Amino acid sequence: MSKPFTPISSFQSTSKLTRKKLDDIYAEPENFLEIEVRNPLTHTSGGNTYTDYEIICRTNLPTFQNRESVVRRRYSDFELFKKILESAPGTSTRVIIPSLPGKVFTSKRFDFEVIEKRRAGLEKFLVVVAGHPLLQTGCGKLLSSFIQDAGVWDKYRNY
Amino acid sequence: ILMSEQQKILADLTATIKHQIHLMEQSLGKRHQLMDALKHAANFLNELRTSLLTPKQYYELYILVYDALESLATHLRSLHPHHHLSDLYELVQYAGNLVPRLYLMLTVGTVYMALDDAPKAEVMRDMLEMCRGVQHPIRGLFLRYYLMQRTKGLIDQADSADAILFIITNFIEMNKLWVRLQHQGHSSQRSLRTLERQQLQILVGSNLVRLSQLEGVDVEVYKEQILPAVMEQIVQCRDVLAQEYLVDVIIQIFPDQWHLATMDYFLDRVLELNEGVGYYKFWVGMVDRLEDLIKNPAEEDLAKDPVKAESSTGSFSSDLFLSLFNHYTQLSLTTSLSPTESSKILSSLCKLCIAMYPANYGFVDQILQTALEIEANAADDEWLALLLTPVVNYTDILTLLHLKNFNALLGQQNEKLQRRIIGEILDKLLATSKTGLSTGISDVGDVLGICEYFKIVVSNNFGPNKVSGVDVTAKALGKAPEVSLLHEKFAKIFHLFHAPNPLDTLKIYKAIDRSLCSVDSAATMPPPQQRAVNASIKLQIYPTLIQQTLSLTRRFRAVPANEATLVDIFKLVGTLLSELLSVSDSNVYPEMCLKLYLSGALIANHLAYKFKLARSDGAVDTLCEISYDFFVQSFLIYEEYISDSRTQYQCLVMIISKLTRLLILTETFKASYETLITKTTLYGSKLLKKTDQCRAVYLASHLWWGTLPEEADETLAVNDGKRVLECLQRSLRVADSVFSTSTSFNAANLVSLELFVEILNQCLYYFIHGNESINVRYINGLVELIQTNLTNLENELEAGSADAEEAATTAFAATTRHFKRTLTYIEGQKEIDERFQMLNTRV
Repeated sequence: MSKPFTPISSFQSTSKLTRKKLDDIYAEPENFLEIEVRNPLTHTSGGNTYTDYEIICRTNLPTFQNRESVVRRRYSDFELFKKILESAPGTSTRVIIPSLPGKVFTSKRFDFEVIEKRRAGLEKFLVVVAGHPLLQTGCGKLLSSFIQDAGVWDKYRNY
Repeated sequence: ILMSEQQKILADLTATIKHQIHLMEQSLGKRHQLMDALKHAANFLNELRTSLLTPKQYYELYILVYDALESLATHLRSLHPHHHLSDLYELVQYAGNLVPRLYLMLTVGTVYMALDDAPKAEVMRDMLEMCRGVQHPIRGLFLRYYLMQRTKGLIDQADSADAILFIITNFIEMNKLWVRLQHQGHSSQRSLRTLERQQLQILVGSNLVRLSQLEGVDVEVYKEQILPAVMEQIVQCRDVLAQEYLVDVIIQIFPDQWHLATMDYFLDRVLELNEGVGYYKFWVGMVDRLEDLIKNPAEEDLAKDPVKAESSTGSFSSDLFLSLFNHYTQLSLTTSLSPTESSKILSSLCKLCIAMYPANYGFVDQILQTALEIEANAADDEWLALLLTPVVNYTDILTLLHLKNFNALLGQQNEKLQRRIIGEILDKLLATSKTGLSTGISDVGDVLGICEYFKIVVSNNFGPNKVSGVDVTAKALGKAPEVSLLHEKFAKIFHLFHAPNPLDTLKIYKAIDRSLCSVDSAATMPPPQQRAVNASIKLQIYPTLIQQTLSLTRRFRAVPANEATLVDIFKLVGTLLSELLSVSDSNVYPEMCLKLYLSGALIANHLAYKFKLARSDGAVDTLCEISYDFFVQSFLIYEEYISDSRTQYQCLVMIISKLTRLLILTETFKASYETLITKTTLYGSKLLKKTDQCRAVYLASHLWWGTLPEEADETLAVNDGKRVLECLQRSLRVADSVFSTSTSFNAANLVSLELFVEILNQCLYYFIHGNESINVRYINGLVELIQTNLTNLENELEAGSADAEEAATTAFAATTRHFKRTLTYIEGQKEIDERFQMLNTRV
């Protein structure tokens, strides 16, 4: 005996489309996030020499303020960022934060291959962190200010 | 991933699919192996889960799969009701992966639907809903396309409302996926996504094609259900690529009649599309379809109801144009149309206008006026299409003259474009004339309109940057090939300006003259420039115009009723000639004017003669006066303008020839006439070269020996034999003076000899005609003179140095032959005319 035929519409609404639904259908899906770390430049200020990297972010997630942003960060900024993340309430238990590329000796710090390796590592780190939904919304605006906001983050430097 | 890798993947997948298909076929061939067959089917369907291929490559796999599923479907059909299809429908949904599951479901479902007792509507709905499971753009599109293909023939006969809803829902989902594809992938690959979308566009369009193929859909259904739903989606999706493609599809696939009925709504919605969309493409597409509709009403319409079809194409309410024009205005207000786009839209609208409302010029004028108001860079030839449209599409080119704004718009364009348009207009005029428009262009308004075009062309040569200072002369007349070509065409057309009634033709000529003498201070061209334009046109056409006017006289018989008209004609000729003279500056024109005055004078005189025969003496006097006037004018020109001796001689010969051909002399004019011929002879004797003098004078001698027709009054003729002799003697003296006294051979002597022979021939003429002053003695003397000199020269030539040129020998031989011929003639005459007996030819 064959069972009677039951179409899907008997248990799911397939109602007519409304204007709001149309906007939803055709709107750009809000899942677009691209992070790039590139263009390392070595600066000398005072007696110090350091390298910083450009972070480019393109997104349409609502959790980020700007759709496109460009900032420059150095390695110590990344370290600080990671430290705050780990110490933020709630994150340490639920989220595994990836590791940064390792420390380098001073003598080799400005070699080309070393910088390149570091850059790649930082990019990998940042892609994972930025894409994590809990980290996007948790810790206040920490993540978005690190990636997008050049001014606010400086306050954290003194943290 | 690289293309080469993709090719490899494609090859691998193809191989796998083919293998599985083969296995499935085998299983289907055997009994009780349906489950195996289905398993193999699921296997090859698995390969459609890939995300690594381009749409084109995916399509290749799709084709393979489609054919295989076709054969599966046939088998399943045959296995019903042994393996009941509703059971199978449920069974295949247990397949492991989504994509194979759905393809199998669609295959079974569509076979099931074909059965009579199947719950068609529910199955249809179910399949449509389940397809939502695949949200990947490429896979989803192909899956739904498969649904469309499989249901072909199944829903076309179904209830229209259901079918329409089904197809439209599918369309919406496919559009959604298609639009979403652009957001996939890395931002650096956006252009690749666009290419892929372009490859996939036809899948989405196929839904619309199915809509157009449904039976039982008429214009009402289209208007109420189909078009609004589809347009809503197109407007809301906010994607330029989709909008352009889909609107284009709509324009192409639905019948023209439906477009006509929904024009308003359609254009309103088009206004809501995205900024970047090329509106003019839709406009042009739509308007072109409408134009086709008007030009070629559908065959079926004609067959069904010829009367209705006739009337529907014959009269379109002006509402259509007004609504189209309104839409255009709105469009130009809300979006910024570039002049190119505006131009395309306006020119297609213009074409439509001409097709729909052939007799209504107001609409076209309105379009032209709109074009005038749009600021466009003249160098870009934006309006070429718009200006060409009426030129090409109006069958009677003269309707152009009804369009007031046409000239204004033409005036704004650059020169090359103006020349092009005017060239087309002139070509068309000439072409229609060839096909037998033998009545010519007889309306004064039309003629003047065409002259305006010519003025535009000529004025190109006097643009502000070409002319320095106010004194512009005809020297600036363009010598460029395309300009000369236009002038040629215009000259040809000029010959079309005539009316069946010569009085009307006269009116036309007068109108042309008036138009070329007037200067419009309100026009954009400054008056000096206008004068220059007029002057150069006069130089071009007046010679022809004057001759045409003179030939008009032939159309009137010499009766008193026509006297006034004839006088009028000559007055016009006089005016034209004096104007022509005043604008010319080279030597060519004065000579031409002189010739024309002489022609006119002779014609007037001949007419006077005809009137004399008809015994209207009043007319005779008037015409003789005119004739005299013209002679005087030609003499004036000779004195003032003709300075080159060669030209002088030729002009003098012309004057003499005309004066000798007069047919009538009245009492009043005899004295004046004698003044004229005296003057002529005097001119002749004053020529620069002696040879010219000699010839001119002996030719002038004929002026003193008139030959009037027999009916004429003989007493009025001038027959002064003595004067003739004087002339000839003078001529002889001059010829003699050419002789040099040196004994060596001299070319001048040869010329002198030739002149003697010519004078001899003149004497013989008078001798024959009874001029007693030219007597035997004189002639004999002359003959002897010639013979002596001839012999001398001959001796010198033979004894002469080797320097004597061959040309001289030939010339000498020619003169000798001439003399010998003359003597032979005299000999011949001796037998006929006894007077000749006394002439001595043997010396």
